[in-house]
Parts: sequence; C-alpha cells; structure tokens
Amino acid sequence: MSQGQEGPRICVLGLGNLMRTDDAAGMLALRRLTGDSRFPRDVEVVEGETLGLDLLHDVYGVSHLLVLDAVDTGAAAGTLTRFQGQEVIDLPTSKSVHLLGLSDLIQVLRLMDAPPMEIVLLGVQPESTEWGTVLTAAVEAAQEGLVEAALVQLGDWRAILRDAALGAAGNSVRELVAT
Amino acid sequence: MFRGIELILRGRDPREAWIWAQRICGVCTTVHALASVRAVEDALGIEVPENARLVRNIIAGTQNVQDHIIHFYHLHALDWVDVTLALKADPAKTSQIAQSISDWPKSSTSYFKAIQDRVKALVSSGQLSLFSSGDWGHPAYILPPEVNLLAVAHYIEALDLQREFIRIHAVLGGKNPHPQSYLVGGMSSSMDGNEPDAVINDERISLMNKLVKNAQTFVQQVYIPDVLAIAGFYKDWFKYGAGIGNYMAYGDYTTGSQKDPAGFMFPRGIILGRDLSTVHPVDPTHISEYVTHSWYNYAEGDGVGIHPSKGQTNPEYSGPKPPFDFLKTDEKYSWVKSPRYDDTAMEVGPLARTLIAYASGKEQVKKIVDGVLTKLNVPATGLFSTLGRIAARAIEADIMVGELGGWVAQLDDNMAHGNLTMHNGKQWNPDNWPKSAQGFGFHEAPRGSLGHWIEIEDKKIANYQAVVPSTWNAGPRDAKGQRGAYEAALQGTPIADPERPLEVLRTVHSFDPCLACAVHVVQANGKAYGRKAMVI
Repeated sequence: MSQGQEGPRICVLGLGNLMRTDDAAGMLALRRLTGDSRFPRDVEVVEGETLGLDLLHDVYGVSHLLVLDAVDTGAAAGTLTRFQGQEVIDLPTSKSVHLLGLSDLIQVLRLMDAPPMEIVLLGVQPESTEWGTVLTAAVEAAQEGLVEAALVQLGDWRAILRDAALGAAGNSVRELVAT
Repeated sequence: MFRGIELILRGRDPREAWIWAQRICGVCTTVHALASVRAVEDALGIEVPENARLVRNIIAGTQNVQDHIIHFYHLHALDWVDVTLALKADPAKTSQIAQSISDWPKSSTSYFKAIQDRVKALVSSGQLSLFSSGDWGHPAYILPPEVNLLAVAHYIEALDLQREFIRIHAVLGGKNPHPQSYLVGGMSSSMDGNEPDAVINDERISLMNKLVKNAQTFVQQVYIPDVLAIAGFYKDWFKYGAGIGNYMAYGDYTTGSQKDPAGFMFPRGIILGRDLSTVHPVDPTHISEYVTHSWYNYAEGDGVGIHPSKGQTNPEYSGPKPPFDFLKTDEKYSWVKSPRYDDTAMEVGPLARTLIAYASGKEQVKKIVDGVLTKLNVPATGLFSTLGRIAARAIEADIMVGELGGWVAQLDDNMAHGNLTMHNGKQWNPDNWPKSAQGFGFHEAPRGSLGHWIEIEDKKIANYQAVVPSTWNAGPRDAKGQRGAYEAALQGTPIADPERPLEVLRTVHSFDPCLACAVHVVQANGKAYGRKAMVI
C-alpha cells in the first residue's frame, strides 16, 4: 500500500471550463450524476473545473478515481470514450505546474507515492470549445450515456470492494483488492 | 493575453468589486480581493474590526508562505537542479548531506533510494511530465548528483506540504483558490468557540495551529537549509541579476489601522541606488504609469505618465501577428504598462521588502539576514542579485510563518474573551456614501506591492485600476527609455549556450513572475517558450 492511502475511497472528478461550451461536458455530467437517485452517497465528489495542482488535496489518497471530461480523440461529436489505468497516464502532458493536466496530476501522485489504484476516464468528444454556456446538440445528447457509464463504473467498483470486504476476515480490504 | 477586468468593473456596485477583481489571477489567489476591499474601505472611510484584520492577515500570510514554497521548489528549483543527475546519486551520500544540514527526519538512505526509484520510473516511462521543461545536461548545472537528489526529494515533499497547508484558505474562506469570505467592512467568517457550525471555533483554531506548525517546521528544517545548500554551490549568482537597484514596498500586515504604516510588519519605504543607509518615504500619489512601449493608448498621448486613479485601459495592439520571433523595443512591445515612482523604475517583491526592513533597522529581519549572509560568507551587497531574491523569499517565509502562529493565537484569545466582531457595517448602506469618493487599496502580495485604485460616483464604480507587482517588475521601458526590473536584471548575465539560455530563466524566474495578471502572456508552443523568443 502506498503512503497516501489508508482505505478504499471512491471519488468522481468532473473537469472542464463551464464557460467554454462542450469543454463543460464532464462538469455538467458530474452534476447530472450526483443529482441522480441511483448515485451512491458514499462516493466523493469533486468539481475540478479548470484546476490543476490545486486538485491534489482532493484526489490525494483516493483509491478509485473516476474522471469525467471532454476528450478530443477526433471521433464524431458526442462519441463516448473510456480510458483506464496506464492509458490515462499516456495522455499528453503539460509543461507547467500552473497548467497541470490530468496525466500530470496522476504522475505527481505517483511521485508522492499516492497514486490511485484504479483510474478510469470517461470522455465525450466535444464539437466546440468556443465561449458559451450551452452544450452543442450532439454532446448534450451524449450526457445521459455518460452518466449511465459512470453509474456502471461506480457500481462495479463498489461491488468489488464489497466482495473483498466480505471475504477478507482479518485482512485489509485494499491488500485483497490489489491482488 | 489581455483580460480587461478593469473595464468589466465599471458601473458595478463597489461592494462586489472584490469578487470580480479576485479573478484577475488564479495563481495569486486572494490578493486582489484583499486590495479591492481595502480600496473601497479607503474611499468610504471604513475601519475594519481587529478580528477581520487577523483573518485577512492569516489568509494573506498563508498565501505568502505557500507561494514562496511553491516558487522555490516547483517553479524555480529546476533552473538550478538537474533531475536527471539525481538518478546518478548515491542515496547513502545524500542521506549524509541531509543529516549534516538539518534535523528533518526524512533523511535515511532507504528514503532517498525510494525517491530515486520513483523518479527513475517516471523518466523511463518516457514521460517526464512536470520535469519535461528542464534543460537537462546543461553545463550551467553544477550541483553534485547527491544534492540534486536531495532537492528532488524535497520538491516532492513540498507538493505534499503545500496541499495541506492551503487548507487554511478553505477554513477561513470556504474554498481555494479564491476565498469567498471577504466583505467591505470586514469578513463574513462567523466566530464562536462552542459552535460546531461556526467558521472559526476551537476545532478550527487547533487545525490552523497544526497546519502552521507543520509549515514552520518545513520552512526551518527543509526550505531554509536547501536554499543555503544550493546557494553555496552557485555563489556567482550573488553577483548577477542585480537590476535597477531601486526597491519599493507599500508595506503591510498590521493588527492596527491600514492607515498607520508605523504598525506594519513589512515597513513602507523606498531604497534608491542600493543605498541601505536611507529609507525614503512612499507617497502613493507619486506613482504614474506609462504606455509609451505598451499596447495601449492614452487620450493625452503616449509620452505622458498618468496616475492610476486617473488610469486608462485602452488596448491597441500594434505588434506583429503572432507567432513572431522578434519584437522591436524602440516601438511598443508589451501588454504590460510601465509604472514609475517619481518617474523612477522600482523593483518590488520579497527582496525589496527584506532590504527595506533591513535598512529600517527591524531587528528580527537583520538577525536572520545577517545569519544567512554569515553562513554563506557573502557581503550584504550580495543581496542585490538573482540569489538575493531567492534568499529574501526564504527569509520572508520564515518570518511570516512565525507571525501566522501569533495571529491565530490572537484570534483564539479574542474568541475566548467574547470579542467576536468580524464586520463593521456602518457604511454598508450606499445611501450614507458621499456622491463621489476615491480610494487606494494596497497589499504586499507574495510577488510584491499591489495597488488597486477606485473611483466611486453615484454609488457605482466610475473607474478602477490595478497595478500589480509583476507590472512593476516586468514592465517595458518608459518614455525616457528607462528599463524595468526584469530587463535591467538581465544585463550582464553570462550565457554559456545562446541556444539554451538557462541563465536568463534563472534571473527572470527569481522575480517569481506571474504574468497572468500582468497581462503579458503570449502562449507560445512549449519548446520556444522563453528561449529564442526572449525580447531583450
């Protein structure tokens, strides 16, 4: 177990600029997700918006990190994408701690010996990142799918952790989950 | 990048100015909110209660210490520390060095070995990430591998420290960045020792005490020893980067009235021509801003200086179409204006504050400064330099973190004695305001002297101007051709490799530039940034 983690903590992090149309997709999906009656209340919620290094405190020590964000893969607008583990870290990095990207944040957590054990990024292909507070039609239509995918991911993690806890008499939950 | 917040503020209620002004910058969070409420309070003749002063001091002082730590380790250290050399270090030797300079407990061979392994994993992944911007292998890096490893370990520890420490902003301001508890007339933070929902109660006081104590230990056992160790290898840099040699501070941090500079922990004053025998007074009416070489125009013509209270923000870009390789310095070449005091260029920031405190005879500052100079065997004139700025910042962090503990204790004491007043609402109602009023709000921000000027007319903002520290330091030449602090500091800098002018970055970074609010950044692509495109 790395030094930052004392037990399982699931966190969902929304990223994006609320004033740049589809860039807000992750943030708006997060709000929709947390307003859903099926959203599990024991999951931590972080509205990350455009913050970089300032997010460190919120994600430090999290064992399962789910990120919602607009991700440009060149696919058709509104296409949902999923990245897991190393795939997230392999996303392009930035050059400054003032413009810290998601993969940099994970690298910093690694250097601090506190990386999340599981990380999943659920992305949606933006059509526009111009000024504006309304999503484009394709991205708006994809919001529901993004929320459903997030609920499935959170459900999977919680089931794994629950099974591990049930079968882990006397052992730490995290050690078992790690194996 | 030009933001135009000053234009957005016109016509708004002065009591909400701080909410907008704070967004001038997301890096120097909080400082513009503080200068803004002070400007309005100055215009309307409002004195804020002692508790509000204490809370403001704690928020601002926390920002100061956190900013200095982040600057040294995360924004500047890699100009001096070669991460790739750290991989060649013998962790046992690093451990010996660490234990010889400090009592900091994280100093075992196995600890440094583990750090080295993690950095190795990062480097071998092919993604240097945060470390990708360094000029690794540059001949100007002269630290032994073991000291590089020590610095890299503390770079990582500082990441941890700063994220914990800034929780004080979340406690007192509801969030970070951009605390939300300011009010014209005081603060909105409720205070009650026995009330679990109060912003300030016994539990929060003990949390703040713990965070301050941890930060103080880090500053004294890690930050200061690291600055001394690294500076010891780079003593030449006490000779380079001096700059204009005029230093100014508005002064700040008092538990009394903001109108009484005698109570300021950072004294107000000006030092001219590196002469520490005289501290000259500061009269804020003597400040003017030039746009002779800036992409703005003045109605009166671009050769005149205008006081910020009458300031104009009329952007007019006349430079080449970006991206460009070259700017002509005999024309307009910057988005930053050129502030001057009595038509003289000034450097502001931790070095200016430290020199003014030293020359004013502040015993605590003299003692720490003299101690550092003795340890490094450097004369006082060595402070006028690139390394002088770095040392001054560390000294300031040490003094400030000590003061923080005192302010938290005072707040606790007031709470225990039933003094819970946090806001003076006498002038809250605009019906009581004069038809027109002008105010000057100032703050010694981490990067230096920050001023906000406001003009209120018929209960609305008629004019608003901010002159930020990086404007003083980064501004271009004025009408007389006098250079600003950055430009002057770069003259005479030796450069080993013109294609990779690491030495230039050392001096520019020593000012802790925050160009987001100095409206100066042209986003270049990563590799070209700050290299061949230097405008000198």
